[in-house]
Amino acid sequence: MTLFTSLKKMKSIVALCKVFLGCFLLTICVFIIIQGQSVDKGDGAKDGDWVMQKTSHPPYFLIYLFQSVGCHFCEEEKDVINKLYKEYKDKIIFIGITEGYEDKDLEKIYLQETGLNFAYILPDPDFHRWNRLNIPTFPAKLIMDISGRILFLETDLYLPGRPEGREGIKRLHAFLEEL
Amino acid sequence: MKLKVAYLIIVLPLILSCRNESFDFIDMKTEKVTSIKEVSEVTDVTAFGDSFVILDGLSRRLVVSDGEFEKIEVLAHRGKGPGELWSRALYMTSGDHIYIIDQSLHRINIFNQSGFIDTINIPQEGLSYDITCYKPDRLVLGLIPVNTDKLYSIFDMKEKKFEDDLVPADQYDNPMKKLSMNYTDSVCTGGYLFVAYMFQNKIGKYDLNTRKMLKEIQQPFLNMDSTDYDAAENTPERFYVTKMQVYKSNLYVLCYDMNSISKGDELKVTTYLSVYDLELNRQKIYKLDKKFRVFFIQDDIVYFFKENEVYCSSL
Repeated sequence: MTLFTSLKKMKSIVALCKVFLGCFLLTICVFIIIQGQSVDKGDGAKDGDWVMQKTSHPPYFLIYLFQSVGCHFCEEEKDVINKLYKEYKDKIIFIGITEGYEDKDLEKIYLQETGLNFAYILPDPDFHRWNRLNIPTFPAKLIMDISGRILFLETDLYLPGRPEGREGIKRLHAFLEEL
Repeated sequence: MKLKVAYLIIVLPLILSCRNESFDFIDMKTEKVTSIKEVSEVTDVTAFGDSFVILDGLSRRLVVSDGEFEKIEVLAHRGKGPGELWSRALYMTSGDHIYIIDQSLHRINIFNQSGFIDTINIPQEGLSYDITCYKPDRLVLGLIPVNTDKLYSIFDMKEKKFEDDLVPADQYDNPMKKLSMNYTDSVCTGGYLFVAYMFQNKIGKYDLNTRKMLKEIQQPFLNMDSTDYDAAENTPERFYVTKMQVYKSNLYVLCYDMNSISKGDELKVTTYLSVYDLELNRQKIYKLDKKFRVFFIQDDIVYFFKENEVYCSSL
């Protein structure tokens, strides 16, 4: 009887272990899937460890993907982006792409007041297509080469008033210096 | 009878012109010669006397090598000083000297076989992406069409200023498309400028005296008589033109098929080396089963470069 009870207990412990193991494996699977969906950084680069890829081909484009009217983060970030443009315009082509706005007059005013200094600012009616790159949120900073290969992609807000913002600016600076 | 002959004379050319254009590819086998350990990635190659001059855009190095790629001498390293190379975007051409344009420093470094000679600063009128020799004191520079609608300008090296603009940029509403579709490589010979549009699979011939376009062709690569030919797949953007060279009165154009990159698990890329006379009439097309972006022809031997590896084949 005692043997039967202990066997039963063991069975329930084994079952519990199986549940835990199953959950653990599931978590790992989900993690791997999420990792797999993120943009290929190539050459084994980790987050925040962007490296200049051997296979990249100049010229390079810095694409600033930002939302239109109402995105105060985009407006807050514009000074940083403008400073980067001033510093690196001799190295990389800056292009601003915005999702646009249904009220075209308001969109025009917004784009004027957003004050990005680049030659190219483009309201993109197919802005949603950028989501194919698995960009989690906007504004996003994206660097690609002429063959369309993405070398750098970050969505952290580059706000100098925040420590993580300063880190982000530092990362982009370091990357641009290597170009 | 006369009527039948007249009918044939009228109808036959029509029938013949309606036939699909067909041509044979020549399979080109390449053999690996060596790896150049002083170089990370060969981005451009030219010849200077009996030597090869190799530009390494990744390591920002300029090396000179003998014909067997055994004796290597480094002429320039990374840096911002005189005779040093800084940008990842470096472009080279050769004439009386070797000229290398350093994109972000807006300058041209001049070398000969033994080393650095001089630096010429160029006006900051845009990002340069291409360079070719026109006359001993004139270069043709390609500028990315951000603030301009011209792709090339003649640069006077004595006066250190741009002269005439050449080659109007193709216009597109989307600025990204405008930049990429107008990305080109060029080569200059006998007062003519040949411009290959990398993503349009298009080659144009311009007269540098009159500044006018003389001819423009599209490269039809797929064998249109083959059973697996699908006209919808034969888009100009599919073929990525990378380099051109004039050799023995012929123009050689290297390009690879971007469609073949994503097919299947195994990376299979077809590269084409097409040969035209200087009137842009097609002579032949070589087909290679490896991806090459850089080539150079010397003494009827074609050298292909992949990272720091050198392959060769005979014409």
